[in-house]
Formats: sequence, C-alpha cells, structure tokens
Amino acid sequence: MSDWTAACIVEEFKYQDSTNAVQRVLKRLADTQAAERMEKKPRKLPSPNFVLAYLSSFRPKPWPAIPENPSEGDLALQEAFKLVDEAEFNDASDKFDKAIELGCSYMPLALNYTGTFAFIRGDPDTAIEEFNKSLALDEKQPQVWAKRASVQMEKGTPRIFRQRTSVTWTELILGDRTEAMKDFAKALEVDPSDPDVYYHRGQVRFLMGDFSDAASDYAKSAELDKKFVYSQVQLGVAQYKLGQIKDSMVTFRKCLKNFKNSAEVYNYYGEILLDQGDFAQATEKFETAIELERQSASVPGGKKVRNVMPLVNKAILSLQWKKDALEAEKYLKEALKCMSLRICCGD
Amino acid sequence: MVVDPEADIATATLAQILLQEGRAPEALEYFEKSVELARTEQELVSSISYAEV
Repeated sequence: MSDWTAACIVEEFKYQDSTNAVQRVLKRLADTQAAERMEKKPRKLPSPNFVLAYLSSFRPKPWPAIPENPSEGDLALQEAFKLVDEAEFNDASDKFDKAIELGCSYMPLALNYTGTFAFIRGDPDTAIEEFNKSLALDEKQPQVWAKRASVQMEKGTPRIFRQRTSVTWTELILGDRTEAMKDFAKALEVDPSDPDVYYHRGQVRFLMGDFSDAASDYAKSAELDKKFVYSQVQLGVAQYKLGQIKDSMVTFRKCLKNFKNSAEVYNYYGEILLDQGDFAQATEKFETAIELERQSASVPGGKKVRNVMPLVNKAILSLQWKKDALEAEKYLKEALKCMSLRICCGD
Repeated sequence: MVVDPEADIATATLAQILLQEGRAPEALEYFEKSVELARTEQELVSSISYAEV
C-alpha cells in the first residue's frame, strides 16, 4: 500500500496504473480488515440520539400497566420501560432480554423491542427472528409488521444506493423491496388507518427514489394524524424532490405554523433552503433548530438526548458558504460531544 | 430505515476538515472513530478506506 502510494507521489499522480493499483490494494485491505473487525466487533447500539430518533419515528404510546402482582419477568419489563424513557438504551435492551427469558405479561411487546434493538445494532437476522416470535404470539401488531418491513430492506440481495436526503449523502444497502411491501400490506390489513405504517412505507419508498408514492404515503399519514410532525416534514421533502417546489414551501410554512417548537421542522426546512442556495435563510433555520434543541434538553423533564443534525448542518453550511473551517469544526465537535455525553447545552 | 447519518457525517466531515488543515494526527483520530461507529460491514469498508488513505 505504502509503496504504491509512494510511487503515485513520485509520479505526481500522472499515471493511471499506479493510482488504480492503490485503489485495488486499498479495496482488498479494507475488505479483509472489515471482515476481521466485524467478527470481533461487539454488537453495540449507536448513540442514544440515534436510537431515540428511530424510536420517535413511531408515534408515542403509553406503556401497558404492569400487573398488581408482578412476576420477576414483569419487574424486569417495568425496569426496561423506565430505562427506555431515560434513554438508557443498552441497559433497557438487557432488561427486555431478561423479561423474555423469565417470561412476562407482555411478551409480544418485549420481543418487539429486542427486535428493534437488534435492527438498530445492525443485526437484521436477529431482528427478523425476534419480530417473527412477536408476531407468532400476536399478529395484530401493525408496528411490528412495519418494522419487519424495514428490516427486509437490509436483507435479501444487498445493493448499494447513494441517497441524498437533501444536503447529505448517505450510503445505504438496500435489500428485498418485495418482501418489505408484503409486510406493509400485512400491517395495513391489521389496521388500515395506522399513520405510522404509512409513514414508514413512505420512508422505504423515498429511499428507493420513488418520491411520488412516498409523498402519497406521507400525505395519508399526515391526514390520519395531524399532530405527527415527521410525516408532514417528509411530505415537504418528497415534494421538493419531485420538483414541486411551491407545494414543498407551502408544506414547510404550514409545518412552521403548526409545530412552532419543532426543531425537526426548522432543520429540514433549512436543508431545503441550503440546497436551493439560500444560505442566509438556511442559517437562520439551523440556528433556530439548534436553540430549540438546546432549550428542550435543558428544561427539567425535557429531552434526554439532543438531535444533533442541526449542528452538523450548520457546520456544513459554514464550510460551503463562508469556507470557515474553524466554525465548522466547533459545531461538529459540539455535535460529537452531545452524542457521547448524552446531554450538552453547548458553550 | 436505520441509518446513523449524524455520527457518520460529523466524524467524517471533521476528519476531512482537519486533514485539509494539515492536522493529520487529529484527522486520523476521527477517521478511526468512524471505523468504530460503523455498524455494518459495508460501512466498515468505507471507513477503513478513508482511515488508510
């Protein structure tokens, strides 16, 4: 690797052969190292910010009541619920495992969560197993069908897609769309008016680049629950992707009116404005989003973890607009600090 | 869908900024961090490629 790189430097990167050789060696090296590291890697959950973002993509539901004379499994389950509320997800995951092992009053729900955590850890096979067990006990759970649908997209024959949300590229490995759609159909058989299911089907369609159907799903979800902010924000993004710029702006302005304190709305609107090159407006929106996130994390009983996406976006904007690497560095470090320390109010 | 763009983008962008500023050891620290953050094998391959370059 070093020899070929040195050759490239000596040749001032003029010769394609040496450059290709570097790429080839690098690819082989990375593949081998990745396989080795994957084997040794403990399956850990990503940042609590991320776990919470996924869990919040389903509308909140109160936990079921624990029986008056709880079994040991029920007590473990009760602790698991509390730990989820406190955003202590690794511990929560252990407690759900324990509740299942001991047996508890809400086995399908516990299995829903162990499957969810497996999915978030990047272990789709275990996730599907857990969801299957949950559905075998109670098939009338649209949420579990919708989650299994999303997992199907990480299985099957993987294909890599580069997905641009609006300002950022994310590499995704997408798998079996047909199986995913079957699961969404099952979910809607159980409850044809579940806003979560439409929202998540919209997400899958959006990621596949099918913005038109995604927009219909988001619109349906928003119609079923006007208080669900994500479907409305994503509707605006999908309309933007379809080139329906005016409609998209109307959707976002409506969101700003209906969800005055939602950092998500400001953040996504900012991304669209950034994409349009309206740097001044985008800055304003990201700054509002950052402030709203700071406030909601600082009040007692407020958010346990902050959404750091506005900070990342502000950093990207500083780089793109002002070419200010120092400012970008400051925002990115704040974002990373928030992810490792859970709560941080910035300097 | 489960993607963790925040952590990925924050670490990768930071690493690239530091590299451009000639702060290679600090950059490497963040490239290594992105290797740690990777959840899937494919993510690991891209993270390792950046860390090696």
